[in-house]
Amino acid sequence: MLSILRVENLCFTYGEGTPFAQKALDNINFSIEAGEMIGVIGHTGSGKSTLLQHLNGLLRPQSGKVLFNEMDIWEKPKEIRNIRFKIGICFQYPEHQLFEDTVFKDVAFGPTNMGLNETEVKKRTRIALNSVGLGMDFWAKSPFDLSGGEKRRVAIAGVIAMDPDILILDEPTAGLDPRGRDEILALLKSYRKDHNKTIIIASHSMEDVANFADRVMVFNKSKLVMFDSVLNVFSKAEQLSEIGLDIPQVTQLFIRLKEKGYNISKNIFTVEDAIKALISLKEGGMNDA
Amino acid sequence: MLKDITLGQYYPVKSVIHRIDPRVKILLLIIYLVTIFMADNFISLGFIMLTILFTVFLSKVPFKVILKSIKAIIFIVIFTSLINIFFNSSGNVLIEFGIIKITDSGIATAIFVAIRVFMFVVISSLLTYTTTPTNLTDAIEKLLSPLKVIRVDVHSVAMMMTIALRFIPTLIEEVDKITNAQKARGADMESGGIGKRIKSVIPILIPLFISSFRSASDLAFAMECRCYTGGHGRTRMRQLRMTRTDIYAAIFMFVVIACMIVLNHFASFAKI
Ligand SMILES: Nc1ncnc2c1ncn2[C@@H]1O[C@H](COP(=O)(O)OP(=O)(O)O)[C@@H](O)[C@H]1O
Ligand SMILES: [Mg+2]
Repeated sequence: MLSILRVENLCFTYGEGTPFAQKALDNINFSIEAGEMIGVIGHTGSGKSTLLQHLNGLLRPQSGKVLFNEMDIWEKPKEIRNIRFKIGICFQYPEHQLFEDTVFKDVAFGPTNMGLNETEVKKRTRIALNSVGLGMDFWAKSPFDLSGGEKRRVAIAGVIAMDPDILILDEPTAGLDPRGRDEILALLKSYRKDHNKTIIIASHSMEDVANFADRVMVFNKSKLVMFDSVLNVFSKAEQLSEIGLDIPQVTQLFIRLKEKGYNISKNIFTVEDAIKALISLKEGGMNDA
Repeated sequence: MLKDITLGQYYPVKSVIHRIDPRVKILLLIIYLVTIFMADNFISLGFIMLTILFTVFLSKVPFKVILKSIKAIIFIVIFTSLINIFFNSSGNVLIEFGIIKITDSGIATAIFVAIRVFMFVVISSLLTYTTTPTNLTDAIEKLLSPLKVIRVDVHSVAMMMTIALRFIPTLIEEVDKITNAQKARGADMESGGIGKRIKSVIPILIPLFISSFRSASDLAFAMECRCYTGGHGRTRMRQLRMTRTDIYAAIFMFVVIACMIVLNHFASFAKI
């Protein structure tokens, strides 16, 4: 399979050579295939954001390489901007970067910088705003008059509008209420379904990504300690709790039930799935009898 | 990166210079600056330069770090030097070029002024490298306290300075973050003419203003919640105390001034 993004021996230390030196990435290696949805999990300060900033060339590796479609992204440093259009990144608290007087203009900032013509810019902006669920009545509003969750969606649309091959989001649900969180996750899910893009989401909460990531990277103290399917990662519950990460409570419950000999899947990450599984277990049990 | 602007950043090591009482340090800095001004010939200037190098050595702040603060002003220095070279017309003419005359004394003055400015910056930045911002503003509050007699609200001034200093790193961090976010959307900050460059600052400036106002009102609210009502009746957890180090520092300063006066007197042949 073709790897769309590959990282080799990546190391990075903030403030190298000063008394403030702080190691953030320690010899990271991995490879991601086109169309995958990747979760990046780790405690605060484990190096997630630092890694993501390397993936689209906002930080330059101190050693090691980042390869996009098997090409070193720093091969031609002058063309790093083109990489940034292909690998879109949306930072933590992205609503802090809004600056235009209307939602539409702000979302159009990215495509305009790409040098597209006006019709194309408008087209992409409309598609992006629609795919984050912000209809026409929002377009002329000032982004500063919106609610937190809406602002966040404007900011995400600003990245989607560049139509990147890889969409990277750093803690897209941080600081939102549960409803805002679910909305963001749902829109990312449907964006992925409609456009079949590679998506990378960082989060310190397992629950956020467990539900729909194909594979999960687990970071601990600037090292990549696991990179595997959600199920395989969750099966190492003890190791996870040692590094301060918890698997969802329903999943814990179902793993225990499975151990007790019940005929159910361990692959349950949400309460809804749990209810369905329990109902089918009950019905299955009745059928047997 | 913006983080590289270290001007005014505390460098946390233990040294004699770090130990000097901040009030004494500020006073000595002022005297030092005057002494640098007193030097009127290259020999005195050279002597002062040696004492400054010695002080930097004592402070254990790496020279690399000090050089960064010099880098920040290098263009101003080059500019003033050029003005001196081109427009100082006394002395022997070396090159004549239309109305521009380059003279030996012009070049000498330029070099002299450049060295003097560099020393100013080095010794001033040493104060902020070796004193925490809190200590610095405490000291300023103490030193300015006589002004209370003429009804200057010294405490508020000092508090404003503390807060301003405290927020410099936060602002730098914020600028870094916003710049990164806009760069990720393809903002081009490195190329284009001056008009385009000024325009490219707007996507950074507006979010920065908004976040500054937000932090300012958050901070005000947090201070009020902790019953801050100004300087009246406030006590300090850490009192500033003078020690023997301060006496040594004062003696050092005194010796420097004495040598300076003697050198100025005997080296008048090298006068500028
Ligand atoms: N701009 C910076 N300057 C200095 N140190 C930093 C900076 N950003 C992050 N760090 C440090 O690097 C480490 C990794 O941080 P980060 O990548 O932000 O982790 P995460 O996103 O997982 O919370 C932390 O120890 C953090 O303190
Ligand atoms: Mg982070």
